[in-house]
Amino acid sequence: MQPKAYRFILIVTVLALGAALGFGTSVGNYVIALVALPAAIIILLILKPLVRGVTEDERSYRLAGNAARWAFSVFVVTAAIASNVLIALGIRGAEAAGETPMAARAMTIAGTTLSLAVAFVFLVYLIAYIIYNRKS
Amino acid sequence: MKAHSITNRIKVWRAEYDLTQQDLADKVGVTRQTINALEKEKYIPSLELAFKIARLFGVSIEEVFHYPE
Repeated sequence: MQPKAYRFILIVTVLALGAALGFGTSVGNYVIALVALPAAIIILLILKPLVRGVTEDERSYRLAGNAARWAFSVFVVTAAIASNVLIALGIRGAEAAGETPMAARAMTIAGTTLSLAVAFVFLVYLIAYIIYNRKS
Repeated sequence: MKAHSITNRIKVWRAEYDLTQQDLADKVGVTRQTINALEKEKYIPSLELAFKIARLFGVSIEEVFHYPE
């Protein structure tokens, strides 16, 4: 298989996976999501060894590293600000603005979840950094 | 557009050996896009890749890559 054909299949598979996850979530059938994810992974794992030629090299790894670092920075900063705003609104703003206590509570929960997600991403980054630091 | 001060003569050597970008990429185990980025001097290769390219052309690294004082 040519690398171009593999890239096409990869894009189609990811799109189909996204559609399946979206559909499964919207109809409340989580079995679809649970089946679609491993199926997509298995399809790609089977097809990758069949690709002739080089699909990844040192430049693509460096690009992926730079892109990941940039995405990490953007996500952490944006999510940290958003979580603080949500929590602040949940504590005071929502009730002061005449929102129901339910809405205020939802904002607080969303903000807390987001800040926990930031903490989790930081933890994963730290663990990955320590592992790679030991390897090199 | 040059993103750094290291220059190279990969295109010249490739022409000397009558190789396409894809041929050179296959021989040194990278993608054609990487060879293109190297020739446009947008990407600095690893030391390993630099050695591979130089050895393929049968010359020293300094004859392919140049780092000005």
